[in-house]
Amino acid sequence: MAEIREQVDVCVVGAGHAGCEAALACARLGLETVIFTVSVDSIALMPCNPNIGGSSKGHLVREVDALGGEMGRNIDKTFIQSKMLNRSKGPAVHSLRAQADKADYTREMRKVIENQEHLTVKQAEVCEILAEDENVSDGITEKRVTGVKIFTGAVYECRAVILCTGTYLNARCLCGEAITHTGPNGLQPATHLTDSLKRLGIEMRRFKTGTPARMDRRSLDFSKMEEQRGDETVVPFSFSTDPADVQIEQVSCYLTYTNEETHTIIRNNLDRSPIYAGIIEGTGPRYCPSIEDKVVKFADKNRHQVFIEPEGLHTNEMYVGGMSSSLPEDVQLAMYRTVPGMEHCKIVRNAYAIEYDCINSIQLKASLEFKKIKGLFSGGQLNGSSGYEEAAAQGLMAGINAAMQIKGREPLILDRSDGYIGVLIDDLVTKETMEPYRMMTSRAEYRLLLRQDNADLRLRKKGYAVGLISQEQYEKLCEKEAAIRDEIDRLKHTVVGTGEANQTFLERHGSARLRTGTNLAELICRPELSYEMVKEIDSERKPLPDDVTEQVAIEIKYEGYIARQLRQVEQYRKMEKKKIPVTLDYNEIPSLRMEARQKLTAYRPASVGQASRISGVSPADISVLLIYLEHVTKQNR
Amino acid sequence: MENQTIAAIATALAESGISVIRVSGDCAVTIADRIFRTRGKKHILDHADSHTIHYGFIFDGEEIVDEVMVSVMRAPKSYTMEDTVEINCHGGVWITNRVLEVVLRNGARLAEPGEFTKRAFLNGRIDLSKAEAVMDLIASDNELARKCSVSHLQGAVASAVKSLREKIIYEIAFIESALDDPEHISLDGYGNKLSGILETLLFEIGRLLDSFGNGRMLKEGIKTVILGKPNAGKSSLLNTLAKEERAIVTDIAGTTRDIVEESVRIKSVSLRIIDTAGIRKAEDQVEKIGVERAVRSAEDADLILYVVDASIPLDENDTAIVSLVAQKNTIILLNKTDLTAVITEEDVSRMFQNRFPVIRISIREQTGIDELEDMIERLFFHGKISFTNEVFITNVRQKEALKEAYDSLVLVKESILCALPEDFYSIDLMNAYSALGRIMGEEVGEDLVNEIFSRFCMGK
Repeated sequence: MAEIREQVDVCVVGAGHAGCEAALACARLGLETVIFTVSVDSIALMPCNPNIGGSSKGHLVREVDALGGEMGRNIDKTFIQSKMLNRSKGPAVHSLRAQADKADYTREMRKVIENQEHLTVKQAEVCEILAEDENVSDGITEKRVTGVKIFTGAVYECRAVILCTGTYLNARCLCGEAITHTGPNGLQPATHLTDSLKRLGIEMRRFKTGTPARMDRRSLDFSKMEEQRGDETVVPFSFSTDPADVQIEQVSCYLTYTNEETHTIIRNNLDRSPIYAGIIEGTGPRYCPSIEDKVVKFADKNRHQVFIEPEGLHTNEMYVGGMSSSLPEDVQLAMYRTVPGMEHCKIVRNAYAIEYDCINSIQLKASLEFKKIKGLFSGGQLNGSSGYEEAAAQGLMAGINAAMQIKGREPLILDRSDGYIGVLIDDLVTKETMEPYRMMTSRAEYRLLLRQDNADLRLRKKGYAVGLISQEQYEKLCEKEAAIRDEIDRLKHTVVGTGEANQTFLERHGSARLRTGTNLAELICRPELSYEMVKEIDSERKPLPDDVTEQVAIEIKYEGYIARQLRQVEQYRKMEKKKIPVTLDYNEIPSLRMEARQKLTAYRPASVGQASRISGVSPADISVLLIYLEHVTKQNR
Repeated sequence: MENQTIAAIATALAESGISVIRVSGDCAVTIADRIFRTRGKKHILDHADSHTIHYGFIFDGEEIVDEVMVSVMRAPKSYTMEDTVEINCHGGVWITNRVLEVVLRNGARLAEPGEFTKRAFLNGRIDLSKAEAVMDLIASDNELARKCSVSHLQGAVASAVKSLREKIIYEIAFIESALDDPEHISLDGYGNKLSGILETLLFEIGRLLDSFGNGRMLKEGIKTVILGKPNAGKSSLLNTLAKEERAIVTDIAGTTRDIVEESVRIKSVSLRIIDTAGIRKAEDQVEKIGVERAVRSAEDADLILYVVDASIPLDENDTAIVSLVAQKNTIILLNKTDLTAVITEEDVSRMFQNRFPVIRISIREQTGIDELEDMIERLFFHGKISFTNEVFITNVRQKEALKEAYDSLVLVKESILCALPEDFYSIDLMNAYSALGRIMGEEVGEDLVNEIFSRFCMGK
């Protein structure tokens, strides 16, 4: 039998949210790319919740968009409801969340993928990653990826492979005692790749996650639930989307609650839950717990929120947010039916838990390339994360960095002060995650700077440098920057006198009268005033785009806080800037404690900052390292 | 940034004849020139040759601060291999601090402990073998980094700072978890609650700051530990030197069960005298703890006064003390010479291989005390005993850190008053937390390396 051998630049394994971003990034940067999927019909599938964004995840989507990714644009095309969360809190924690029409989301992304130049879609299970030993310098060899082999035996030779296998590796779905060896939604799992990865010396893990049931909307009584409507004015996810294009008619979600009766049923049947019965060996996410977990963990709470969300415009299926479960079907039905409005519910798809293989992500560099295998990259749930947005962010970064490597350019590494993507990847590659990693606001130390509203200002230039942001988009950003700067400057230099008109204005807003003249910026800083309010006494104000005034308002209002946070960043960057040579032999520093030596050798941190975040490396070890490095640098100078 | 000009008091901070303020860095000469004028009111330092010394006055604006001698050493021929100026001013804590203050106000920043040495190292003055010695030092005791920054801050203060940090991190964690899980953790009315907590925290930090201010914590001086067997007269000695009743004195052996500490001026030398529990194989638990503490404080003493009761024979407890003081500057006091003596000066001196001076005293009769005071002063001026200049600086640093924590918490209060959303609180809470962490040596970073250099290079 003649064996097919093809030659491309990049192979992307998996076409979920990570795979799509990775493949698009590579193809858009001009590299011949093949994206493999077990089912072309499941490209960019949303097998769990029907929404994109949410607290801190919305930040990720905006950052992906700022860098030139697709997720933001795709959800803007396919959302059916949109909300800016946490509006009552500070701008740092505002977060966009949109309900997607799932089928539409998949279809639109598939369209983009299929029509992308340099990108080929191939339905096939990748069974083996091909690699060879490469001579680096005399005697020292390094593994280098050479291609992939699919189930039929065909070989695709390439220069980089990006693994985005999601939850498909040796996947197993559990619904109580009923266990099937399938991927999400009953799709075919990938059963050969794990062994191939292990042969390459990659350490594997087993994680689990879960999804709730889907109900027939006709069986639900929404009059017993609270309606949750979308925002009056929708803010698009993408910085490239015209806000006028997203003011559509929206559908509602519904809020209801579990009660003691629900909890009693769950408690009485815990022994039939595969997790509590010990059938599931994978570790589940603490931050996205199943309803069983919540009942056990928050034993004192007599109710938990349940969000009923439509899966799309052309289906009656409703997602039961907050009640994922791996309990048996009969228990599920009984428990769901105790919830107000769900007394007569009919389940279309049962809730289930899914177990899958993933890697220990500390084997990766911050570029998401395996430290030990050149040209092999990895993104998404395979890296131990959870969530569509986390996956997309990593997929994009893995794609960019594979492309950068092939083009002989420096990798794009975002640090913890650049964005949530930086936090996400730094956490994954530095802190050993023992459970699926979910992005959270609290993980970002510098979140007042890392707002969703300024993701473009933070990252677009980097996207432009990489080549994923067009000249036109870049120029638009520069104009925006200039407009913000000019307006802030104008406000700081616009004198406000002690004339009667101004004093009346202040009194009317419960603000202290002026004793001497001041400027507009000072007034905006007063707690009771805002940029919008002082418009009245700001005769020179010209109309500016909303995205400009938003930045102006935030930057002036929170100037002091932003300045303090910037100082924190400065401290942090000092340590990040202290790079550790890759060739450093930690055994040559006898003063390092044995544990630290082992940890540092295993992790090979790129900077002293990263080293300091490794558990088991103490402040004293870091000091030893700093002294050693300072001296080495001095000697080489 | 790397080449900022730094300044610090390079001599021991005590009532001595002369103190030296050392300034090092690119602007060292310029800064000195700005504040130094000759008798003829001329600014001359900027053009001064290397290794020259100049007589004149330090000015704060138009006011004369002190009459000084200033030496100029230009790079690379100085300790740090940078431009260095040393201002020799009149000794005394107040004047020395004033001169330092003027230097700082004119563009230098306060040197971190050991920073001169660190620069010397970075500029190539100290070789790798010494750097390795530093690293070995750290490695030999993983806790050292922490210890060296808290060595002057033991006991109650350290635990107060620790508990402040714990309280702050608890609030940070609460806000963060509420942001991540608003369904289960509510922030309703939290601002008010936090305000109350902040009041307490501010009060506590304020109290610590005050104690720095009035010098209760800043107990500068030569750490002098009184050791001896129970009822040898240690507490009486302290009371005599302090010229007031500080320690409880009885005839019952083992009365002093804990450490009594007192700042005492003897002639022109400041001492921190620490009275300890008598060293013996203690039976009861409380006394045992006292003995352990005595041993510990002897370990890092600058000077030990070993009191021997001349009226009872030497025994195994004395032998224990011998090993304890072997590496220290010690003065042996043969007390109770008014009673019938069973041991002689020679007996005691022999026990210590004749390495330490022995003075016969009687505290009851107040004899021999003058001799002791003379001896202490002599030891000090002959450089036999001293303490590090870091004592002062470390405390200033700690004070600055406390102040920073205090200011940050005030900012949190303002945020609450201005009704800012809760997520803003954590920015300044975090700052307060890290500032306190610097006191404890729990913040990773360059600070720590500096601490280590300061440890390594004591007295520099």
